[in-house]
Amino acid sequence: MSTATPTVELQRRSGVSRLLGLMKDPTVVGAIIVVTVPIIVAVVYPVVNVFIQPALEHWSRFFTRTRYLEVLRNSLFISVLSTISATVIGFGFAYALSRPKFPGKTFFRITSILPLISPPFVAGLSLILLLGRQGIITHGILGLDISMYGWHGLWLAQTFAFYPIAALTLSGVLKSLNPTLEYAAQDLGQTRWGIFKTVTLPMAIPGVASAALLVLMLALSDFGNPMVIGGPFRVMATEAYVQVVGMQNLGMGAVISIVLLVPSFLFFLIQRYWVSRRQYTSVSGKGGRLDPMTISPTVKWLLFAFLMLVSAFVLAIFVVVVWGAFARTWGFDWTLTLENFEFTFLARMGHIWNSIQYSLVAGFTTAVFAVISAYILFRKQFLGRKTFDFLVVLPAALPGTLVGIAFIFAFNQPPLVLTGTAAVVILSMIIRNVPVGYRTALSGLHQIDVSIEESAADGGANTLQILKDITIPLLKTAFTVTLVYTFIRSMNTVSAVIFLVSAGTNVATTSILGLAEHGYWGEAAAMATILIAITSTVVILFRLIGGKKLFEL
Amino acid sequence: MLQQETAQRNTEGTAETTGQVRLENLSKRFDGTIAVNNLKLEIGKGTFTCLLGPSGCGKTTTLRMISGFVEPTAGDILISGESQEGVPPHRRNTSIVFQEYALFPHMTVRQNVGYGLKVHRTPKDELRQRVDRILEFMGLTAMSERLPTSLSGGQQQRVALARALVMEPEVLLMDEPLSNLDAKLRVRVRTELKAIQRRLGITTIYVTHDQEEALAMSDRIAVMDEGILQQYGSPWELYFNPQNRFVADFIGANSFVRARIENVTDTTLLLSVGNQSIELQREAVAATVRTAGEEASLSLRPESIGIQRAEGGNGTADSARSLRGKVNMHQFLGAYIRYWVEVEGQELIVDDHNPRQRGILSGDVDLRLGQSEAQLFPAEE
Ligand SMILES: Nc1ncnc2c1ncn2[C@@H]1O[C@H](COP(=O)(O)OP(=O)(O)O)[C@@H](O)[C@H]1O
Ligand SMILES: [Mg+2]
Repeated sequence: MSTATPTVELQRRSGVSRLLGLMKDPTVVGAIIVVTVPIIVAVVYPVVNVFIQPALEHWSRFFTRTRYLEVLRNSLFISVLSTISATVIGFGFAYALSRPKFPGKTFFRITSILPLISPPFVAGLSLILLLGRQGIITHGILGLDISMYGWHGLWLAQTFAFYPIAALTLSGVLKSLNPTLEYAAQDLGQTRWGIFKTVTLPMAIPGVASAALLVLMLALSDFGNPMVIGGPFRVMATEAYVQVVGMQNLGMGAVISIVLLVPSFLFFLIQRYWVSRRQYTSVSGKGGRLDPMTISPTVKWLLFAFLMLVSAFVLAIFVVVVWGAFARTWGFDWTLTLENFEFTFLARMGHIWNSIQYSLVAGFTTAVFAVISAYILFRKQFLGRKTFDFLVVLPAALPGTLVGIAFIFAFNQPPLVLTGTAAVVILSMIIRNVPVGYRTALSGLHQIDVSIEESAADGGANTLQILKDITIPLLKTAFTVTLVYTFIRSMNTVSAVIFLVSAGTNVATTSILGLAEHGYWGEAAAMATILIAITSTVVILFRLIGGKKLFEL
Repeated sequence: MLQQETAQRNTEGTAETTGQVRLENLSKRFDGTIAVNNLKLEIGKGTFTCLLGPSGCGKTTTLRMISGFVEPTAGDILISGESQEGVPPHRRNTSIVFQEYALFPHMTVRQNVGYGLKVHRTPKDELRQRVDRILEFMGLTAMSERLPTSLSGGQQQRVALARALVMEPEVLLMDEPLSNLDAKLRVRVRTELKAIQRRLGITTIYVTHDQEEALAMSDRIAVMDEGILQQYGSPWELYFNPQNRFVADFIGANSFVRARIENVTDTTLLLSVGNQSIELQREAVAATVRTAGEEASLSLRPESIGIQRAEGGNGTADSARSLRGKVNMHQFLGAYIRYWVEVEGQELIVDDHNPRQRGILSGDVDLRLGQSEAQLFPAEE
């Protein structure tokens, strides 16, 4: 055996010797640079740009003019409202799905995943077709000449767009609770309702808070729904767009995006330093765990009825969009036609094609990037490890609106002129998905026994070889999940790319919004249908070839 | 003989004739597997009873049926003579301590312990008194305002026990309560646990897979394997008088020697082991087989075999009471030396508890059997 083989750094040592130890391993130093530099260029640099952009005058105008104050108030109002309803519904789904023998689980899983793999504004689009001026219900059935434009419609749309996110987060939370605690309470004489109130709910509270904050952040930076269904009810995300693209008032755009950053950065900090610490994960005992307790029949069927109602609405949303895609003129002429699709293929196929290409590139790059950064963090002890971790997850704190505007500032001027290129669109997609991919890869790595690698290191393999022979195969799952997940999210993304696309680099989502804005409902519905068909196919294929579950519901 | 008598007195002292808990032909089937198979057990008031057996033998399932979390497929449970069929856990006069303690992480020690009383709408003053008393009793007063996560494993264990005891149940159920503690602590806590149980005189059913724990703590032990009760008796009986090969093997170290029954008289048994033969006193051998000509398995405790340097003869021991063997290996363990001795191609474990007398032996040795109990079981197929 060769004696000169470098050994892997696995022990905890003092800072200096850790740094020295690291220097012996050039691959690691290289990898850290490969990860850190892009983050500084694509996250830190643009965000700093946003902050130095606005003049004092922009700030004072934002906080004194009624126009802006109203937008701020609207945004907070609707986001809080949508957050409450989406979190409540999400909790209902997650709770039901975490219980054994709940009827219709698969169905409820599907109706919660469907909105996750579609662009968020599908809900808004569909509500217009249902309840708008030419809507089936309002116009077709009731013969009314009213509309859902405004906060009512927006509330409904955001609720349906975001409850699945809450359900997804809460499902993880509820599943991590130890069922034995509920049995302990029962053994001490507690009723089912009492158990829920005094044990289950209090223990889930940190998770509920976390889910609610996540929804709040998404609702605040939601661009599609306010634009499609908000009508005169303007919110921050749309206002930023009007300021930047419509009025070329970049300073005001920057101010708005910074204000949007406040809650999501708070969310980020709370999540990082409070929730994760308060999460009540239980000591997993050996031996047969008890199944989670079943729900009492009355509550079960009440909850079932409620979830059915929500699910029916979700299905209606999708049925209506597909129907709209095939109807000649929505609201007036219901004959089925392929005209809308013909239009799409003639005029907008390029945008769909752009979406697919960009999302693929983004998915692949994100997966590589996420896996490398997770690997470095998990396996290596080095100075500034915490900072490194912070940098990689930082993009999760940035609302899409801010990313979009920040990129305009950063890449419109030397040294990096990227405005109008596909690169800047793809970069925004990558940045926004790196944190999720990184976390997925980290949890994958936690499952790998360190000793596997240690024994390989004893056998005289160097870092690169270990990476290639052991870790990479084990990380393949995290890699493919991140790839597919990023692809789907990028296919559906709006709030950042809306600022970045140009005539040549337009993508499907923004293209659909353009159509909807001008009242081309049929064409918009047809394109949305194609988009949903693509993402659903990818998800189903991924499951069929044996991929890991994308959404653990 | 003297020992046997003391043991008898020992078990009679605590066990009572009236059963506090009776399991009547209790069975549980999970789709496919039979976890518990036709279990009959009568547990005396105030006794400490262990359910002992290897992992997966159905101990936990039995305990959960008694507590009411799992419904039996067949059979019934009687507590103080009353059938528990259809009675939910909180209506049963039992309290369970879970293996992983199941303390509520969002409540202080005091809130955890008072939880059950609060649920039962116990008046405030009484609640405080009872909680104070049990905290004091368990030595937890100093940490009553702390959260469970800030306590050590042993302390968490005591909180869990306090939470169960404060309810003053008729029957206390415990599922491997020590398995999350480290080895040293386990020995200490089990002594404490037993002392508490003694003082309160509470009927306790205790699940463990650790035979040493069971021997140390129990009045009675029910040994289970694959859902079936193998033997129910005092630790003494189980150790010195196992009813079958499984119990003999599971409890304590043991050697099994293939033998053939050559002759049976009123007072002796003549066995052949390979080319050697040995005569044992009939009264010293508990036998389920004792017909001449049968193949049998002789089960021997390491400490029941005497060992000495081989004398005279070549190949066989001179005495009819001894077997000639060869030391394969030994371990000096301070209080005793453990030998692995090969006799006619079979290995026996022998403990010499008087090492200074003979020193460490090697080479040929004579093994004296039948000084105390041995068992004859039917030969393994
Ligand atoms: N909820 C359950 N569903 C299916 N099988 C179970 C369940 N609980 C226990 N079993 C099976 O019943 C048998 C006995 O389990 P258990 O009572 O937990 O054993 P022990 O506590 O002795 O280790 C095992 O084979 C186990 O796999
Ligand atoms: Mg068990």
